[in-house]
Amino acid sequence: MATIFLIDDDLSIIKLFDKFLTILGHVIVAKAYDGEEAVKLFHEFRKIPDLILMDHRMPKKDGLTAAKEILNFNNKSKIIFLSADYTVKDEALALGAKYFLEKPFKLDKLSQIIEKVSMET
Amino acid sequence: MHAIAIFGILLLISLRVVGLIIAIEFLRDLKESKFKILIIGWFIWILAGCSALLSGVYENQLFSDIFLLINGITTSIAGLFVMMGLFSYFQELPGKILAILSILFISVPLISFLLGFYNIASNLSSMFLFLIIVVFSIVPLRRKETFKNNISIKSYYWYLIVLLAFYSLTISYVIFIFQGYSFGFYSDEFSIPMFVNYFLGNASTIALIIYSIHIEYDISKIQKFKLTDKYSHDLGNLIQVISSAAILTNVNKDLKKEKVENLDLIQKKCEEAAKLIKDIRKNQ
Repeated sequence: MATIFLIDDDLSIIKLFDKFLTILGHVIVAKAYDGEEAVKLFHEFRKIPDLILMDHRMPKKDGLTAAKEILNFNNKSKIIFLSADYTVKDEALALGAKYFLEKPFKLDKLSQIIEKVSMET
Repeated sequence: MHAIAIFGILLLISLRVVGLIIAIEFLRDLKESKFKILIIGWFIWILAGCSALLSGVYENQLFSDIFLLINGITTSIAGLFVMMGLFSYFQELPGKILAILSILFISVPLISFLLGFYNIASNLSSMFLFLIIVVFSIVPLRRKETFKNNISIKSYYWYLIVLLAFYSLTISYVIFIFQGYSFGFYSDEFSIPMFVNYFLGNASTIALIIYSIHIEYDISKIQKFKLTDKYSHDLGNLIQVISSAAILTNVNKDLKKEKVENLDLIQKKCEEAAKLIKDIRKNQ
């Protein structure tokens, strides 16, 4: 079981991932709908979530910028990018993201990646 | 005016008309506002060619001098607009600079002309034109990588050819003027320098047209890439929602057999659509 911070500007995706991950037994500690809100919420966390599921193309602040700021604040944060924007894959991984999952993907794949990244020290 | 000069100017006007038509076509097809600067540039360049012809038609010295002044001013202004239009593919420039330079290019030769310095007025315009070519060529060469990132390698080489042609024209023209030839060779007898001048003038205009066609191709390619990227991104998100919703609904064990079959079908089709998106991205 992992604590997860969900970031995506698509409300339907947030709802569905929330439902799916909760069924799997994970705990969604917070949700953000743009990069700016994500960074703001992350600064307010008393306990850092085990995983951050981050979209890239979002209003106000994109995923790459938000991830950079989050990692600058806490470099141990585990970020998994879930994005349909495959062009930023290399940049996201170079930044320090643990994985880049290209949308659309099967939900089984997401649960495997979450398990794999959670176990990494 | 010698027949070679008339023929050279007529050819230049025709080429500039071609340049203008191409720029108008680009604006219509690509909707890039930067083509507006190019269109203005090509149009003023046509006027410059016409004023050169008119300066040779009038026997009255004052009229001839006035058309020479117009020719000088319009050539430098057109050079400014065309170079700025082509330069904007590499780097955006504020309109304020264009306005200030235009005022300068018009007022300085005009004041010289009104003070009676006819030759100086024409030479000032030529100097402004040479200055533009030097300035707009040094910057991209110094920032080669940024330039190459914005346009294809082919366009970059054509840019270098355009520069080479314009530099050859400029240097030879300065040499000829110092040898005592008239401004634009409009009142000279036939000579090799006259031929060289019109040959280089036409050659550099052809190179400029080819360069702008390459740039147009680059822009349309970038626009297509952005469009494909946008659609595959949005479609990716859409399919993600549909397939995830279908999977989560299927978790419900109380569903009727027919509904389960339909959900399986939705999932299957989503997988096919996902594969299609990957194919589109691969072929970009």
